[in-house]
Amino acid sequence: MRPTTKFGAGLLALTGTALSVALPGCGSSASLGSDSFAPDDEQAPSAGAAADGGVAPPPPEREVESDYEAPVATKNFVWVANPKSGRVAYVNAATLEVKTLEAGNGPTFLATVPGQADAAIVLNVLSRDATLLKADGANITTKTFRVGAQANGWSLSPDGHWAIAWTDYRKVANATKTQGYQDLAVLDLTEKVPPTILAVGYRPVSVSFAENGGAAFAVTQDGISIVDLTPAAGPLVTKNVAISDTPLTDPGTRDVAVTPNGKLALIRRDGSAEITAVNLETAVRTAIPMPGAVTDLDLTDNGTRAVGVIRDTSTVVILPVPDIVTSPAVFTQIAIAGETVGSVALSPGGGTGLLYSNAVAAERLTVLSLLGAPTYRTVRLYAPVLSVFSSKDASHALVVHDKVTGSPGAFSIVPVQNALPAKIVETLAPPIAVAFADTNDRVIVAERGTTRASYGAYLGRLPQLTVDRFALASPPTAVGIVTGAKRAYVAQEHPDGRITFIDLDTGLARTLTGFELGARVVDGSKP
Amino acid sequence: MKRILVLACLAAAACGERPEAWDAPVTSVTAVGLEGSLALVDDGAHRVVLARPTADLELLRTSVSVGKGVVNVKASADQKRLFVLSTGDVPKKKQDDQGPSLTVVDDGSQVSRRIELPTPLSGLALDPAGRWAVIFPGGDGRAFVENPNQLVFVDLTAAPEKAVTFRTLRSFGGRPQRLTFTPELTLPGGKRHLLVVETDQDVSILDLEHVQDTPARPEITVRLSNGLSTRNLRPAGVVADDGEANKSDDARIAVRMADDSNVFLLTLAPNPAGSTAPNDFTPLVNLADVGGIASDITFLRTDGGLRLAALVPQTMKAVLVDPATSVTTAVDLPSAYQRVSLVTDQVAPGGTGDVALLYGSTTSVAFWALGRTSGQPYRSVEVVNIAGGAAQVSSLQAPNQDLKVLSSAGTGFYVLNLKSRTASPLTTLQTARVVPSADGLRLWAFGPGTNNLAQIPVSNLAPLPLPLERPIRDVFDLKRTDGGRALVALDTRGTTGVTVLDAEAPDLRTARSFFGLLQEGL
Repeated sequence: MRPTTKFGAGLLALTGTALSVALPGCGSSASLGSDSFAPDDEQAPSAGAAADGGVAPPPPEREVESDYEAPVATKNFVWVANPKSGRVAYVNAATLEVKTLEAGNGPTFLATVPGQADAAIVLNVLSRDATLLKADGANITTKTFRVGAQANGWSLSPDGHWAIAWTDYRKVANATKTQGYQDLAVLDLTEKVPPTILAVGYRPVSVSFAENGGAAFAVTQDGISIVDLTPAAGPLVTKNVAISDTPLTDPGTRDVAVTPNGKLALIRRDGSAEITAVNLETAVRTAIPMPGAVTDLDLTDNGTRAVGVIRDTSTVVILPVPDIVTSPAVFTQIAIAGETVGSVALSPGGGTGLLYSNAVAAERLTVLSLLGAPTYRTVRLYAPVLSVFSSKDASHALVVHDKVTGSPGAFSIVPVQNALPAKIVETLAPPIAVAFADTNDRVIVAERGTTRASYGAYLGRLPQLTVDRFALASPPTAVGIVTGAKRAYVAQEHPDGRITFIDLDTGLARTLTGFELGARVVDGSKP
Repeated sequence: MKRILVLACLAAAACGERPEAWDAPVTSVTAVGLEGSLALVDDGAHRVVLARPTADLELLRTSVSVGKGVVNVKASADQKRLFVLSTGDVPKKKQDDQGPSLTVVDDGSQVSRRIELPTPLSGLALDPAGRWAVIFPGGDGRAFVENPNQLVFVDLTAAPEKAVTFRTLRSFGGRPQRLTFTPELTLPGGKRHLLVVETDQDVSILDLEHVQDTPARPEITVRLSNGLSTRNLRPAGVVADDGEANKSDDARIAVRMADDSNVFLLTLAPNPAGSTAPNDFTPLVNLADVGGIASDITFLRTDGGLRLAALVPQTMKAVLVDPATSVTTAVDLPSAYQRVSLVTDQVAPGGTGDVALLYGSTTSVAFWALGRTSGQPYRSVEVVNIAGGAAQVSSLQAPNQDLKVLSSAGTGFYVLNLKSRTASPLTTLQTARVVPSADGLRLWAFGPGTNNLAQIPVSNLAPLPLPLERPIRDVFDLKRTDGGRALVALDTRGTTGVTVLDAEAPDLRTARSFFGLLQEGL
């Protein structure tokens, strides 16, 4: 059983335009679980008594799962889909001008297109097609692609050439066992190859791309399905690689991380003192014995190292990739003395690992330097850790704290590169989303409680660690930063759409409500 | 009463042709008080009679010709000009039949100017700044076919041949309900006056500085529905604010709805780079839900910045809306006040927050001070209890601008002192109308259709009864030709008579009466 929470282990820096919740870790790792998810309360991080009177083992480290869709931001625009109107609103974050354009029927799931300044793609769930949206100044172009298959999410290749629409069954309410969601719609956004629908294994949980764009990898309950994107006739599923020796049985909860070059997958299972490396070209599996049950495993974004955490012994293992396959016993072990660590969040670039545990009420964050010979230092915090985010340059981390009796919520900003004390900020409600600016000097945090007074956002300035709160008119759902406009945005729940922009320099907040209404202003510019 | 009946003997003895005015009936006479004249509109004779009181309480009468078919009469905000809108002959059958026109009568010089109009319309809106008159369809069903979105702009500062601009608003099915002139706003393109036209489903904004441009600079239309349902939102009033003095991107217009709990906030921002929009500003739309239908709105200053205040009688709250973020703060009120009026200049000039007077058909009025104190977004709400409500509030002019008259449909009224926050009750035997004098020194109370009249000096609020011989229709406190003041009480009977008193020292023994004013000067 894997719990779902808004924050959890394995989260890394969500910078720039990214929505700051709910990504399953760094690189191409994926969590594969069983059919049902326990509610949050069942996994509260408390060390309760076992039925036999002994001390119960702590629960698994908690992962973050996305439970809602949200706007996306490109360099200059924020894009928001309105399934009811069939339109996508795009807001110029500099001028706050709102325009809408027609998409297909039921535009719902948006994603940005990498490698392009202002391009996004939206999945139209009712017409089962997708609309590619490209903005260039005041001009916008659209292109429709047939999708055919049911889908609720996107994966895009790093160069923006390929987009794959697929269904994450964990976002489908009451999915039956016979709903396999095995279709992937593979779209060539350069239009050299027509859209292709491919079948992969049962219930994919992640789809990622090789960094050269030649292949895609779907992590499913049948193994890793490999999609060859290079055939002139169109993409093909060329192989399915089993990731365990007993593929016909449910192996339990596991994490799968695929290296960016697409050659290797690393698999971690809850409670197992073994990591499995799978060569995706040869399907050869290699067992890598660990000194204890691995509670988290993360891969650097260049794929050269994997970092695992063994909570029972508070030990970090650093695995060289791909050498670990040929020398499974050769890896680095670091015992984090006197601390409990069960999760790791790697900074972009992989130079820093942030170690913590949210399975126990640990008020510590351990900063592990992976540059050169690994070293670490532990930062004292003043509330239990729920999740950790890193700025892009790993100069700062933001720690979202778990519930503390009497406190509605809190977060801490931790200087990582400098050994300075962390600053804790009590919030009026639990934080729900975090995003760092690409410039590494600002961080935005949204909070959301049950009353109007508890809707807010905090803008943190780095390295000063000054934090300003902004009241919001409605419940926030997501945050991000529009780099080109130097503004943070906080999307909010509102029947007509609402978003608040905060100037990163001046701190001035401006809210837009009613995207459709704003776009329907008739200014005489058109006949 | 028919003029032909009054003059029956003369008419019977006359021979040959005579001016048609002699045979025209005296229809309902419109009386308008100007600064120093009582203007009586005699539509049958196509004229306005200006009666100016003198030092000896005589009336100097001047007749000014106006167009035929008077459909609207208004005085300018400063009461120095009278505007008479006429349809002319409808339909025009003869070469010399009149077309529609607007006659502007200057009270000081008694000189009139007639401006020909392209189409006969009956609605008239006047720019408080004095430059524009806007004529629009009044919805009175005079024409067989009428386009309700026609507007005729009259530039009162331009030569007659350049004064008139005809415009038809683009429409999405709505028809104008109300026209509002904004104060001067600092917009991205410079300082501007705007005309805000509320239809029954949207709002249009016209830049008055460019309304005469060729080619026409189109209006900006803000549609109030999102196009996803058949429900139309109906605007119920607008207010405007210029924002900070040194900024040109923060002028705002707020619109409240008659049938929805949202208020619309339109920030008049610069056009995006590359925009081809003809206007040099664009409204950014924002909504704020105030929790009920707002009965009145106003912009006001708090020490937290500019806020839009919305009164919501349904919830007995005032809601402060931050126009930048739409964040709302509800303030509990002791009563379901329906109207709000800023009184900062009278009670706390130069303070850090505005002070608003809250009133309505409630048994109290309240002073709402907006300066923040610990734990609440306002400083205080101070209640002054009154009986009978304050459906209407009249302001007194300087030197007694600190006073307001609260009146309702009941018997009696209150004189509210904004500074001392006292409310002095004055009772009447019947429903009375109260008219403040233009010099701010006295009130006049009278019973419409009765002989009852009283002067109430503001200095002591001691009523002086002045029962007249004839039933009173209206009273006008006018500036006399010698600089003094006269009260002119209009009769309800006959072909318009008046009684003139010295307003500053009223004495029935020296009062003078005049009858049949509209029988003269034909």
